[in-house]
Order: sequence, then structure tokens, then C-alpha cells
Amino acid sequence: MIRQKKVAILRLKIIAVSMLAGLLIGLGAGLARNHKFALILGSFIPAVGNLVAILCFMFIPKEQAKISHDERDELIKKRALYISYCVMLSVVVIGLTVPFFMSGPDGMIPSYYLNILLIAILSVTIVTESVAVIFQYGWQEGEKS
Amino acid sequence: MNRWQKIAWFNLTVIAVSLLLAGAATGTLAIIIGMPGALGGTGFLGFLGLLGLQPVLFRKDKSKVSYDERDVQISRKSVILGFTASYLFFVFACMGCWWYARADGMIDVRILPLIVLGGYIASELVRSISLLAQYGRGRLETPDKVDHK
Repeated sequence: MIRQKKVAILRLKIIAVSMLAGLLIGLGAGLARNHKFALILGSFIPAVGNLVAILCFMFIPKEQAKISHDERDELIKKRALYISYCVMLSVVVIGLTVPFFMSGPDGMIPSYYLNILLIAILSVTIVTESVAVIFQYGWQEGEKS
Repeated sequence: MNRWQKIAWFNLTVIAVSLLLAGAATGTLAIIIGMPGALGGTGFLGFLGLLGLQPVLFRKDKSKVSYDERDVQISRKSVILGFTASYLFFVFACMGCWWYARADGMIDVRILPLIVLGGYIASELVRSISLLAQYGRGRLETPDKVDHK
């Protein structure tokens, strides 16, 4: 399997695990009536997951003996980035305009909403990019050595 | 100068004029009437709507091949750089608002549409600058493509 695809799959796994862990711990703490703890852990774990997902390409070493990258790979990478940015922009616009319309022009929102929105945006960007990379290489094994 | 360069210069001019007018108006109003009312000066950002006139002002010439693979590469790279700039803007704006409001923990929702607008401006600005930089800032004139006739 090509390295870029391996990285994409690893990223998806890391994001899924961190989101699930953050959700479960956040829910657990929320049920225990510790709302501050729930909020901090519920957003901190996915944030760390995002960071690990961004840096996970370091865990998969390049194979020195092969030419691991050609123009097609470059095009796939650029296209995936483009798609992920388009989705990211949509999420940003929705995430920033919906509270405005829901709470009215004189409304106020808690400041941690923006932090949670940023974490969500980063997760969505990474997931979309990874899915786009995997989709372009094909879901099945053995398409390109 | 090809069509993409003309569009980039048009974008830069519109953005610069809008920001300049909005900044000057807000600053002047802030001195005259004070702060909440001075935000009315940001209304000059409405001139950014002129960016939507690109397809009308810079029509494609049907008789010529207006772009080749190199132009597509340049355009694609510029768009990605623009998106990256807008993403960085969102990160700094959101973290800045959070840091600013850390005392009372609440943010005025009127800021949120401004963040969206700022991200759009950052994206268009960086895209245009990157496009011009890649074409060589007009020093090396990129001619319109060869006529097929």
C-alpha cells in the first residue's frame, strides 16, 4: 500500500478513537455533574488526537529504495487538500453564522464555543482529506505498488 | 498580462480600497462619535461585493486558448494557499476572541459574521498575491495564449 494512503488510514483511526474517547469521557463526567471537567476533557482529548493525526506521517517511514512519489500522487494530494478546505470553509461558515441567527443580533455565546468549533474544524478537515485520499487511490488493496 | 493576472490585480485593488475606506471611516467616526457607533464605518466593506463582478469584467476570449496546464497549476496552488490563509485567520480570530473574553467568558455574536468576512478577505488577498508572485509580478509579461485561427 502506498505511504500516503497508509497515513490517511492511520489518521482516520486516530481521529475516530480520540473523538470516541473524548465523547465517552465527556459524557461520563457530564453525568457525574462535573460539567467543567466534562468540557475540558471532552475537548482536550480530540484536540490531542488532531495533533497526533497531523504528525502521524512521522510514524510511517519513507522507503528509501523506491520512488515513493510521482505527479499523480502530487495531484491526488492537492485535490484532497482542496476538497478538505472546501468542506472546512462550509463548516466554518455554518458554525459561525448559525449562533448569530439563533441568538439574535444582541445575543452572547460562551467563549469556549470558538475553541470547540476550531477543534471540530480541524477534525473535519483531517477526516475529509483522508477520505479523499483513500477514495482517489481506491478503497481496495493492490491498486498501486 | 493574462486574464488571471488581471483578475488578481482587480481583487487586490478592491480589497485595498475597501479596507482603507472602512479603516478610515471607522477611525474618523471613533474620534467624532465614539466606539459602538463608529463600527458603522465597516459598512464600506460592502465594496467587497464588487469582487463578484469578475466574470462580467474579465470575460473569456472564445477565440483564444486562455489557459494551459501551467496556468491551472498556478491557479490551483494559489487557491490552496488562499484557503490556508483563511484557515490560519480563523484559528487566530477564534483564539483571539476567546483570549479577549476570558474574563467574563461570553462573546458578542455580532463578531461571528465579521470572522467569516475576515476569512474570505484573507483567502482572496493571499490567492491574488500568490497568483501574481507565481506569474512574476508582471515583470515577465505572460502573454495571452496563441490564437488558433
